Amino acid sequence: MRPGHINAFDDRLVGARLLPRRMRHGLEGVLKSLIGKEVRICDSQMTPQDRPVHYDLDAVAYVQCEDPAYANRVAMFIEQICQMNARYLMASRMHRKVVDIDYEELRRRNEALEQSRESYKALSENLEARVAEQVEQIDAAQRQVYLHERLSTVGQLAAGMAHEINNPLGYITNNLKVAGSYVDDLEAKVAALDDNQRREFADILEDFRSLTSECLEGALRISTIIGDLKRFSDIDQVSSTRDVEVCEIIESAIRMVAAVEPDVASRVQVEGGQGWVNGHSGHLSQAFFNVIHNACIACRQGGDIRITVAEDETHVVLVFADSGPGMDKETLSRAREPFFTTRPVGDGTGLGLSSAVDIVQAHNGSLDIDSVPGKGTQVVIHLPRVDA
Amino acid sequence: MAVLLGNTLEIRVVYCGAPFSGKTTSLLALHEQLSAELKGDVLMLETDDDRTLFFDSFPVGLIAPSGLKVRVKVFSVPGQQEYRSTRRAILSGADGAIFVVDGRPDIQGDNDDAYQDLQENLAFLELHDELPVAIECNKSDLLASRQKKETIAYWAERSDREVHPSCALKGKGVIEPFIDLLDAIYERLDAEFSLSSDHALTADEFTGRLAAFARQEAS
Repeated sequence: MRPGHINAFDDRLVGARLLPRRMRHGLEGVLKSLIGKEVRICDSQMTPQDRPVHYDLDAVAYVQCEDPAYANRVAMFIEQICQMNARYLMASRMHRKVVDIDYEELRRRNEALEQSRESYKALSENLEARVAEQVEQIDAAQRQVYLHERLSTVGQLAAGMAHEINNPLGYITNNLKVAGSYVDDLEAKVAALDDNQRREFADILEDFRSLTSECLEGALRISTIIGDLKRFSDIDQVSSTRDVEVCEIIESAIRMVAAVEPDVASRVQVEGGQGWVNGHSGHLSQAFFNVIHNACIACRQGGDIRITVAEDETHVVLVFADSGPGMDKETLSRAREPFFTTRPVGDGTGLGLSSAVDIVQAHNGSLDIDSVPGKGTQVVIHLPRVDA
Repeated sequence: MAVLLGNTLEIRVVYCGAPFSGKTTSLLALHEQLSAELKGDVLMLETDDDRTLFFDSFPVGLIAPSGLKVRVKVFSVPGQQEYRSTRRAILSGADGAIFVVDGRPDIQGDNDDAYQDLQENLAFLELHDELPVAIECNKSDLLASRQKKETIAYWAERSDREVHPSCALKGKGVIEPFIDLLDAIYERLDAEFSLSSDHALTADEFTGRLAAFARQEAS
């Protein structure tokens, strides 16, 4: 059905509508008193003398008159009345029709409004969750930026130091080697002297030899530290990833921790084989440093640290377990939160573990932490294997 | 759309156009000039100030040789924008429309709006592709011949039917668009109601008898 056909406003107007029964009786009475003749308004033609009353090309009634000479004029009079009546009836039908159309239009618009209201409601309900999600993303991005800034500052510092120290260290090492060979020469010369003189010089030479070899040892240690610093700060490769061996990085991280926690070497024990992952050695070194450093702080009052490296089918699994005091449930639940720390102000930033989590996640890995008060804490890191 | 009620074929023709373009004037002039064998009185539903409220209307009719009664009801609609629902009510079930253009050159915008409104209403009623629309360019006596040519050309571009100049106030040129429209309507109805085959009603007879008119004295 077409939208306009709700009800047709110009359905035929029949005699019963145009000339209702009560009106007919009234008309018949008035006409009789006017013309003094009997008049009847009928629905159908009774005799050939009955005159039809026309409306809209149709006969809608018939006039029967006692004196047929009046029939024509009476019918014309009634036709005028039909026309008047039709005006009212058509206007009322039209009015209803227009109201229907307007109402339908309003209903349709109301429905559309209702729909858009619903969608706004849904949007506003989601809004909070979506804002929280966005804030979380921005937070994470900010932490990454912060970490990157810090790493690059450390990297620049380390690069500068390595350059400045490596040069003098080079000639110190060389000179110490040359000095050692001079000691050999001197020894040969001393051998040619008489016994008394030889004994006098032998003690000095022996001392001298141990002095140079100790210095050489020290210089080598400095060179190792520079190497660790370089690896830690990742100054050799800043943005590209490569295949790296985690045990090597762990050893280097332990040596870095030793700079701030000197007794780490006596507490930590590394077990297990090699594990190859693809990533930034500097970033991973930072992550391991943070975890080991935390473990060391936990063990300041006693306890030891066990680090095991193993592989499952898809991942390299690193376990850092300490036998420190552990954490209660509340501390544990917040441990991964950025800027959460139990240490005094100025001692910890609260970013150690959270940046370790960020780094591990950036390597498509996972970091899980578990702790039992009085027994210790265990951090398990999964990193995807290179060959998996 | 035309419907067959009993033995009567009901057809509706509607005058549309901008306010004051001359729809009611055209309808009255048409009523006055038609001399169809069946013709009813004009029913006017107007306001106090003689503006069309709902519509004006009159019937003309004929009896086909088969006995079929054909009744054409001619309507005019109110032109003001706010009466759109009334226009829709009257246009629903229409078989054809005569769009009355107000020929005064400074009224062009109103004509365009009214034509746009007609198209929208036809689209709303899903009559868009089927309804024949004859175009009557009223008040063309007020136009210089070049303007008249331009106006007719303008509307010829928008319609696939001939544009008829008229002067409804003087009763000139209102029959032609009516004839034009009846021809188009017959074409459609003949297929549906077998007017020529079942009722022996040809196109010439249909249009000729319905649009029979008493030639007016030139005034």
